[in-house]
Amino acid sequence: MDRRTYLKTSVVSAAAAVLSREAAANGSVYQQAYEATTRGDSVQVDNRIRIQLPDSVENAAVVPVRIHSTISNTQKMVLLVDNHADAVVASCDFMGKAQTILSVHMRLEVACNVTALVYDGTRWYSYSAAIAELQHHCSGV
Amino acid sequence: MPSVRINTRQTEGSVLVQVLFSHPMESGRVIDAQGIVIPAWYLTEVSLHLNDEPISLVTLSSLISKNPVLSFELADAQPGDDIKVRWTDSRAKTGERSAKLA
Repeated sequence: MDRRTYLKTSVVSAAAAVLSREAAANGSVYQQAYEATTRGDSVQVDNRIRIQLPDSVENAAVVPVRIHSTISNTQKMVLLVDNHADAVVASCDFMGKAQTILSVHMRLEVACNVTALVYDGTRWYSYSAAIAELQHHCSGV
Repeated sequence: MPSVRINTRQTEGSVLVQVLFSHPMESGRVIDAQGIVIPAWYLTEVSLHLNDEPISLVTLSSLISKNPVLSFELADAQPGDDIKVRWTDSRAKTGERSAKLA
């Protein structure tokens, strides 16, 4: 192996190692947040949870997301993303007359999956959507 | 301190309440032109009260965009009802703003 090939291989290997460590760390942040939220209880996928995201995200610094649950007696909604340093974007506790909607704008760094967890007082439900493409503007993240 | 505006609008069968914060929502992960990390400063909790009764509590993280807008839909609100928003940020500063439903 000549010097050039060796250096190229070393750099690529080092980059891959860093990326996989970061991916693992982010995966673990997401997994930890998910389990801390649900306290390890079983979670059922349910399409009574709606996640509205734009088809194409043109500014990663301002990504609108709206979650609506029609699960009766929804008491709590938690919005999670993977691939980020924080996993929990926001959570909302409902105590009465507010309809069970959570609407915020997220600041994202990379494409990710968006998961909504909903608790009705007895069990957890979830629904996920993906942001496949993200464009960054000059304003930065 | 953030500045806050509350907008309310009647929609079909409910009242839409929009709370607009003017806040930098610094994540603590951004480096400025001098290479210094801008310290984290973001809203951590926002609660909504209808006639002094808490109806919703939102916990926010550093992944929320600058100048956040939170939207709530109230099913049983009436004109003249009082809306109050209370907030806390990551520097433990708190504040509140009230409005009356038109």
